[in-house]
Amino acid sequence: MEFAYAIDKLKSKLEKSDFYRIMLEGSKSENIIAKEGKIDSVNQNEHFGLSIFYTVGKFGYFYSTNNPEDLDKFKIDLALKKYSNLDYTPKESGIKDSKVIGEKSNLDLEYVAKELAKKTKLKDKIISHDARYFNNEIHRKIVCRNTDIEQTQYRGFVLSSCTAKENNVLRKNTDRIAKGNSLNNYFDNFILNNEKFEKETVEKLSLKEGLTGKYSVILDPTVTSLLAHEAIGHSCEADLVYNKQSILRNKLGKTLAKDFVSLADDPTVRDNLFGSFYYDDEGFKAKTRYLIKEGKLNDYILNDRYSQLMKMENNAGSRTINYTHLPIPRMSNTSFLPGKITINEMIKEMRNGVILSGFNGGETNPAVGTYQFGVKEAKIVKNGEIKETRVNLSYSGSILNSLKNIVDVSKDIKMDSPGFCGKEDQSGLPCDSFDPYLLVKNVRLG
Amino acid sequence: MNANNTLRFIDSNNKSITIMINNKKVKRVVENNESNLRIDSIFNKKRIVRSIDSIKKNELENVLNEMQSLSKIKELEFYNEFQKFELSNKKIKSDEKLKEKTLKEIIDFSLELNKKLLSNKLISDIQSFTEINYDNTKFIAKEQEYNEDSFDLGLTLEINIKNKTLNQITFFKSIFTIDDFDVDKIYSEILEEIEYNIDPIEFKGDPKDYNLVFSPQALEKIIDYFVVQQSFLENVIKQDSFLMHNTLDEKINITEKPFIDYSPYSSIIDLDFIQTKEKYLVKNGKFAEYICNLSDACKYNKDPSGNSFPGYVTNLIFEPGTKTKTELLNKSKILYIDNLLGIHTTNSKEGSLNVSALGAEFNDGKLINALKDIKLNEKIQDLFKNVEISKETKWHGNYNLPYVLCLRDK
Repeated sequence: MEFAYAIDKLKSKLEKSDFYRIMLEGSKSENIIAKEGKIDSVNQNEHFGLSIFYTVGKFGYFYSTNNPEDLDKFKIDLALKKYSNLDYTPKESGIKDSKVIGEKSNLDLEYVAKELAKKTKLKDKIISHDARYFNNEIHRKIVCRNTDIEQTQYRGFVLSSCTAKENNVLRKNTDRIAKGNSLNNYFDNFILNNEKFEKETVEKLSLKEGLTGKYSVILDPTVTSLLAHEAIGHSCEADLVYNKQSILRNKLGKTLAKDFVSLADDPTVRDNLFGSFYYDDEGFKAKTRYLIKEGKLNDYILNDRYSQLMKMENNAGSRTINYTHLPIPRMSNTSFLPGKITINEMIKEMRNGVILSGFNGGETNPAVGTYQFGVKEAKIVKNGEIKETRVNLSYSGSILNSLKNIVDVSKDIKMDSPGFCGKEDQSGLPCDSFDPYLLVKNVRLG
Repeated sequence: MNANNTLRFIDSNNKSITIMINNKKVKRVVENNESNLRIDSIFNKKRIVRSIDSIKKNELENVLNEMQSLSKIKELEFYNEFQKFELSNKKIKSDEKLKEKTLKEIIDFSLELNKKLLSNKLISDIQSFTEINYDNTKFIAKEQEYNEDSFDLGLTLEINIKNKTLNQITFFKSIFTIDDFDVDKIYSEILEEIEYNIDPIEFKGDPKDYNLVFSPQALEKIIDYFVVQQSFLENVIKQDSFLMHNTLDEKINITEKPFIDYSPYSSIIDLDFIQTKEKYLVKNGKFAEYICNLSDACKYNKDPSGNSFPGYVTNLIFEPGTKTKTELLNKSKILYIDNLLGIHTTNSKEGSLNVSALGAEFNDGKLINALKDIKLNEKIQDLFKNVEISKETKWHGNYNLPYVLCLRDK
């Protein structure tokens, strides 16, 4: 790694500190944008950088650079010591390990570019179509006095977005895959799905938009993932809880939902989930966090600092989008845990209501406890049968009411809701889910 | 680095310092130093742009070879050479006294502001982020170089308001001049925002029974999604946005003004070496001019507009009106919309505004209640058909915006 030579030099400069954590990062990425039958841009990028977090007594400072010449000038600087208010004593894991997640891409860039260009050609009622491919490998090394962890992560992402138009009606649709691995085993299937994707988009032209009112609803796993991540997951992040910015503050051990409702944030490396890791960005070993267990609030997502401030066990939830930011409590793969019935049994149980499917993003206000989600499609169910489909809906509510109103959880799960999470000034953090269907009553649509 | 007709560079050095303060105590100081080189090249009549760490400058030849091989993947484009880089003689003033503020003075200022806010019984907690950016950008083209230094100081405060129930507001402030570096002045601005956010209750009525007043904060999101992002050249060519097919109230004028003195968002040149220019996006309620970068301009055979920026525009000005904010709120039943949740989930191409909002209810100018969970299902083209605009405006990032009253009946 580009800066590895600097480690020993830095270690000696940091000798007089009480604690230090150096993060070295090297990343390589390839991205392609194809638009309407043409390759719009092709890029290969490579970046290196390093950050240093050190403390002296109650003074802590975080410094980053991508210029190695800066390291010669670097020294412990106590100029701001009078402002020092470090409210915890940073710890290190003491682990020495090296891990790799996923494998290197063997997809030829020219092949990917040409396939994407072919598939984005305009036809019939499709008036715009673009596709973005992103292949990335990140090497991170975390070094403290007794810790030395190296983690390599391969990730792949492809997003296709098209708009169909007829008369004055426009329908936009998106299809994507994102994996905690290169797309070696996924890209061709994604391309094969393109025809179906375009057909579905055109079919949406004949469907009415929007639906308002209060309904019993079945959330498909993609919409369930929004509820799990946006509404509940963010409210369980320890920094928001500690700083009185979460509705779930002071609610540990309290019953929030029926006893068959459990929710976990699980960074375990499996199934090529997009949000997985072996070690968090402070160098602690990843572990599953059961945020809601049998209906009760059971845990928060914690890092070293907040675990000490809240007198709880550090559950290795510290992540950063890159070396230039201090790691903060973040989610990984966040999901409700499966229940006992099938989706068909759930539709029978609901009898009259709406099935919501496909997420269009969402936003939450954890302090006030409200959320707003965009949903692609609603199937209106009457007497157990689907009668009509609507598109482009919005769904909003209160976090606590939504949890109380969960009536049932399916045993069927799906793993197709990866996304990029934003918090503070750190957007684009890979996250994922493995959610079931949920039956929820009194849901406000529109 | 030798620039020529098919090769040019932007060499940028940035130092940023962020100070995070929790109530009255500094909790984090983060210093980031980044040096990057943006290489803009034409190979085989195709344009390839790449950004590298400055450390790689000595490997430029290898990087250029890689860029050349990428150009083979691209299909035919028609870039012969870059047009001559011509600088305008515009000068944008900056406040030297503000630049001279030391890090300690800035931290003391932020601490004093938090302290003053916490002396107000309605404020229970504050997380504040003070960000200082020092940028040096060098545009290097054939026989021409342009050097730009900028300084940017901004505050973001997340404020918990607690009387009977908890609410939170986020306050942003870009400090343009030494006059803005004034604790009392910013304190008053924050109090004004807090006034309508105390003890919100769930809104159970129908927004369609009310006239709506949008705050500058809520308007910023609307203008970004429904005006700026709809003004892209591609939308104009395809005529696939509501903005091209509808006329809003003729009092609405929205202009990009790149040369405003003291604004850190002003710029005489964009990242494609194109001169910025003042332009109307909306003039008398009608869509006026597109925005685009060089690639889209070439693709559609149009002139570039000088809008190759990450946020697309420099300073965006929603022209103020003649009424006061108080007069706007005095129009019988008003829903004041202070902030929006989930705007990125709406179908902005069709003008559909389906979002949750925080705000307040007014009757004949009297505050009835602060509100949460206001559900808006509106079409921008209907909502902004008949408006009144305040003379007071506020900066939100690079947007300068008034309060806007949307009247239901013409």
